[in-house]
Amino acid sequence: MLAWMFTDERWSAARRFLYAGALWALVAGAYDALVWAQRVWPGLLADFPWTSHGRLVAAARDLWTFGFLSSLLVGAALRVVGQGERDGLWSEPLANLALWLWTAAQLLAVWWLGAGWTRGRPFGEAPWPIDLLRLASALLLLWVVKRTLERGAAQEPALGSLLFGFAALPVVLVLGKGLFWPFANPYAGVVDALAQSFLRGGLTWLWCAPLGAGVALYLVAAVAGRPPWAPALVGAAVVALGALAPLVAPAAFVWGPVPFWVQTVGAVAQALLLLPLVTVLTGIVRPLAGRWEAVREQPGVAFLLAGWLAVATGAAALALASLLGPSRVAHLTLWEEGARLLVTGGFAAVAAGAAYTLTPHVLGRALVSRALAWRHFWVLVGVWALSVPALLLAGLAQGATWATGTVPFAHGAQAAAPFMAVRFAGALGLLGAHGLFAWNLFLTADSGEPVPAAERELVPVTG
Amino acid sequence: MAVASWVRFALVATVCGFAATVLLPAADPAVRAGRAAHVAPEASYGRWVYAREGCVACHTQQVRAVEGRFGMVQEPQDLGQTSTPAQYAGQNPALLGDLRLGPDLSHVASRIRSADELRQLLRSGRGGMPPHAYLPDRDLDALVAYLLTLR
Repeated sequence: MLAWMFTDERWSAARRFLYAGALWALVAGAYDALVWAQRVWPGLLADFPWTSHGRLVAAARDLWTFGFLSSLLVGAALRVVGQGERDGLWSEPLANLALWLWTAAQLLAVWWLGAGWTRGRPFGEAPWPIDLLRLASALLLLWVVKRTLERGAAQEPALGSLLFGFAALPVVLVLGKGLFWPFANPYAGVVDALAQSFLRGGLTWLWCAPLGAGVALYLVAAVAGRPPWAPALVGAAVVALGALAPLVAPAAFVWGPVPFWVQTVGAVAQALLLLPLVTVLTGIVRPLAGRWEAVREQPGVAFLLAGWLAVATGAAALALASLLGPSRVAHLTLWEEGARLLVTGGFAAVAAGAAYTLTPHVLGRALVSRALAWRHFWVLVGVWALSVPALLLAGLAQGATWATGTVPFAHGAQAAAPFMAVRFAGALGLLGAHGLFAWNLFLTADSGEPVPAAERELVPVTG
Repeated sequence: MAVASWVRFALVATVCGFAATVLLPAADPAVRAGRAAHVAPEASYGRWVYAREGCVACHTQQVRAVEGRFGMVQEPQDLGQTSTPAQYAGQNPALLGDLRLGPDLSHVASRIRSADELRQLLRSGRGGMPPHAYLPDRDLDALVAYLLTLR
């Protein structure tokens, strides 16, 4: 049993992280659908504490970030990092240990958040034993990735971006959750609110973004068979991401009860964050110039492109909501939910695209059905096209009714209700898309056509 | 490994950014002006129930500067005075919230006619708010006691 759990088989950890991600995608999709169903029918399953709305929201947020997105991105990142000299990871058993710790933490999080054991913060609420498990797993992953990269002379910004993501996660967890004193929240008052916002922003822009950028930049260049575009500029973008992402935290409190100078820093940083994101997007698009057939042939590449486009668009919508004028009607409303759906959905697309592209290189088998992958893609695009405008409009309707000062709050809520029904339909679409993804991946693992050994290697990308 | 140096630089920038936007505001006079208010044990437990049940997923506790003038839940200007950083002193966790699907609760006690009305609302729900009939009486009473402290 132990030998199986901590096997040193090449790419076993990456493969297992991808499997875990596909499974968590289904669970996260189901929680998300239930959350939005309850927003349309508030009495649904409200008689049970485990399915009460507040607890479901906490669990859904945790599942999306740590279960679904993180598992898939880590799986893809480990495969890309291990490419170095084609020797695999520095230590597969340690990477597998990180996988089991991560998975155990996720199982406990779903259980405990449902049972009502929480830190009580609105984002990243898991209690401290789960945080410590995740921190241990993150440190193990950082160690394995760092030692793996040290074996080679890798200078690609994509690999640097991955290393930064793995190094930033422990920092985000320790500072954002106050894990330097894990048994009680060391922050209080406005500082705690800012730390919560830092945690939320950190998990998005310091964890998902560097991993998503590294994986996408590397895979697109590998598929196109071209060197990465402007390595120095992309490297600078990753540094800018690291510098700007923590400054974004106060943008959640524009017009709110934090000192005005902090709000200003947050709003400016939120706008400037677009620069590194657009630079990464450009770095993904440029190697494909003149090779657009790669997008048609490989659905994974289309996912990577569309995902980063969604991330950049969502970040722009968040930046708009942080400006003093628009924030009057957009902030605290469903506008921000729409923007975040684009950002997290974008990273979900990047994660799925990486998994599709890496199938032969991790599972050793060709993807069973490209048609299913394309269906997944178009369902995802359809969900964005339907849900995001609905949420943005709902947010504006809410904000406009608040701003009049003459319309009761309940009327504003009623105005948003039809849009939330659209978002619920989108949640069902997302769940279906995750089902297609998991089905395709597990079918490939089970009965996909084996690819020759030579084709299992990724094309090395050098700057 | 050449990338290690700029990765280290990015990490240092991250930590400095955290210090600037999360820790430094603690030294701002507007934040330091507040002192943690005394909360009765039942209300304190009720605050924990509020956090445990995820009320913060739909309710904010922050009246923004733009809303202090014209915000409205039932009657004009009933949202109450604009929130200040000092009001949150000692609150752990801070429950400002980031999405307002239900009304802001910063001054909810000033809008409620009686504890019974509030208890009934929590039990059976209203409008978009789900019922919380599963809550034991002790938790419900504590939650009501906490909400009544929000004046």
